[in-house]
Amino acid sequence: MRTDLRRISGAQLVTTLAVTRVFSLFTYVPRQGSVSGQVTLLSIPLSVAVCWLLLTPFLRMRKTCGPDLLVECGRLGKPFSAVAVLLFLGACLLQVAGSCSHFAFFMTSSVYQTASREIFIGVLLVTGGYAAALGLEAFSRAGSLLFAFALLVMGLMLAALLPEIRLSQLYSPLAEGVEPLVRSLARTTAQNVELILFVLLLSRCRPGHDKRYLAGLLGITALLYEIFTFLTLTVLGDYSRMRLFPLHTLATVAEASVLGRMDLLHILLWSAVGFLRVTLYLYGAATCLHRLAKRLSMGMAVAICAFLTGVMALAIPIGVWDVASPGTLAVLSVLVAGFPLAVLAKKRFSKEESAQ
Amino acid sequence: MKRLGSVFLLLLVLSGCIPTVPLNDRAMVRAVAVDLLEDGTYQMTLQVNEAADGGSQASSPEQTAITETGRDLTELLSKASISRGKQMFLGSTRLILLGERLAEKDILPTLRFFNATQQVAPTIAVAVVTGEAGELIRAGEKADQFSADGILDVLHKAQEAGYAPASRMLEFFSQEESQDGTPQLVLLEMERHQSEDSSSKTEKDAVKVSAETSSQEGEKTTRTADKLRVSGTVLFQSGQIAAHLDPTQTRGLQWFRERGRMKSTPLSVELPEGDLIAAKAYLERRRTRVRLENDRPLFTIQIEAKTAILELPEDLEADWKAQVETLQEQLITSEIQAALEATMREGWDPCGLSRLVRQQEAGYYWDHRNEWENWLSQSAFQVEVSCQVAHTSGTAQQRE
Repeated sequence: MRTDLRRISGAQLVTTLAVTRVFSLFTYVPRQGSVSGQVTLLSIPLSVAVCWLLLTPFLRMRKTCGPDLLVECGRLGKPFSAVAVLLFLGACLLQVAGSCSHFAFFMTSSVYQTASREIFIGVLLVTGGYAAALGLEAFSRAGSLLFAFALLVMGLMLAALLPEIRLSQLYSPLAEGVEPLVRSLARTTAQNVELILFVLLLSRCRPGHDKRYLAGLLGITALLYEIFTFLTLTVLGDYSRMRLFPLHTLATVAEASVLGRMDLLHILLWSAVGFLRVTLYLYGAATCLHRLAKRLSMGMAVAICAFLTGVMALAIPIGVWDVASPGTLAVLSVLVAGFPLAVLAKKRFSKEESAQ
Repeated sequence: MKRLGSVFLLLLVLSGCIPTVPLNDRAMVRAVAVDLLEDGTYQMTLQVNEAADGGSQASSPEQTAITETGRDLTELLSKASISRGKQMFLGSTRLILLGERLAEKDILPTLRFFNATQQVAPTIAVAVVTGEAGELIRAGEKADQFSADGILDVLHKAQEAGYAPASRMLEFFSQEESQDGTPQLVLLEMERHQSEDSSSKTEKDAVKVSAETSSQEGEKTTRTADKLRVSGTVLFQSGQIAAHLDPTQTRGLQWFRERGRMKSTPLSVELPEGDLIAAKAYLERRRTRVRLENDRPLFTIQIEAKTAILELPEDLEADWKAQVETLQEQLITSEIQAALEATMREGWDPCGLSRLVRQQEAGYYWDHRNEWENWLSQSAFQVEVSCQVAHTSGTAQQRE
């Protein structure tokens, strides 16, 4: 197992994170609670602006302090550093467990209804853990290829669904006032948990193009979400309320002349994306664990994280894994904006002290 | 990367360990008919294609009908599997037929069962059958026109001509789930024509199949020519039949509804002199707008249609084209008005006009959405139809 840190290209990081973000699209329902899907259509581009604002301190920190957030947190003292690493570790572990849980739920409710979820969770963690132990550069290349495959499948689906679009399903997102928009904006922003990995892994890319990478990640994911929200609203209409997985339903509605129903492609894509997401977050978690216990090899750190997340995925019921909860938004804000702000504040304070 | 590749390879190889069902052990269900019997139990009739075994001379899959009765649909499918010794596979099912009695009581539990079955696509066609739906499936054993594909062909042709609405599970539930929509399905009827010598009689009630009569070899003079008829639309409320639209009213709705096809529909008119002009019409453009007038919605329906004249008499006046266009416009207008009278005036909204109001008069919609039926029945409609004779037969062109 290699533990040295090699650089990856910014494009690889962006495409890998974008395809990982696609995972949440599969269990995504545009209608969120009492907020209609129309509102979500507007809240997606607004959430891009909010995410950009959240990441501004981090970008500033990279420019003025140093490239690695956790290293910079280390300069603020050991306890502060430990808290930061533990929070990042916890966030990554929760994402792995949640992904495994969602993946197993989909497979046992839609594909293999008589299979047990333990098998899917086990297989996903073993394969994901092995790939994570190989290192970021290995699976980020796979991520780029998967991104191209995902775009192909989504392009095919979009083309097949064009004749099914009914624009009469759309109406003004502000028809019910501004309050649903604010709620939807909070939820949509909270779904951008991949920003945690972006903050953790950006130091592995060539410096100098941070804004371009961030714009790429936010732009691609917002575009994909916008397209599928639009399709869910205009193709499925109110029928989407009856379905657990609207994207899977869209795939069954989409029929290409040669390929027939596209739900098989969807299942194939989701399995691959699930594998990549688990791999990426396991890698993120193992990196954090490795920082806490330097003697631990990367392979062992991955194994420990995989075991912990396996237990969590089996023990915690599926309903708990709501990626878009207000709690997630709070944690996301602390991790991607709070810690960089603390680093910047400390630097400014030190400067003022030395000036005096 | 190589090691990662080997993991994928291993997974591919291991995929053979997942329990699978060989094709020969599967019965591909092409169509399902569900009827409610008098005693309250369900009867399910399945049209299945089974792979021909090696010893069989038939090269194509064998098409058979399986009928089972029971208390719930899961039990019925299970019974069918046991009786055939094969797993019933619903992934290839293209059509669900519902018997009249079931449609009068409640079709929602039945459709929800199929909706919850992941193998069934939401785009599956659903139709209500006059009388017993299972008879249609059993007729398909001997006559291709009653196979799933044959019935779907009839449906598609009727939809192109405007005599049938879009009748898929997706549209049904989309309307059912919306607060204001009126779900609808196409109504099918099997007509049995029986001719004996030169005289002929028609049994409209339908339900005896050609197979039965043709097997009566002793009666040489008896021939049958059963056919499937699309007899309009049924509107539903809470899963029960609420209203019935005849084919003309159905076509009236298709002229202006979103995604109504109207690719080629017969449009014959009679001149004042009594001459009949037969034509095929197709929809060029449609637009429905809504605005408020005297605090109630006024819907303006604009239709532009083009027609191709196929039959016309000799010795027509010079302005025959203008006359024909006017008559065609009147005919389309009267069909639309008849459809509006039968639906909107009763508070039914099969065309999703509430969505139009939500788009174009949002304030009014959100203020009145809980009493949509009332204000729809009080709405005004303005129908503007424009017809243009685009093609004429060779004779007519010479006359011009």
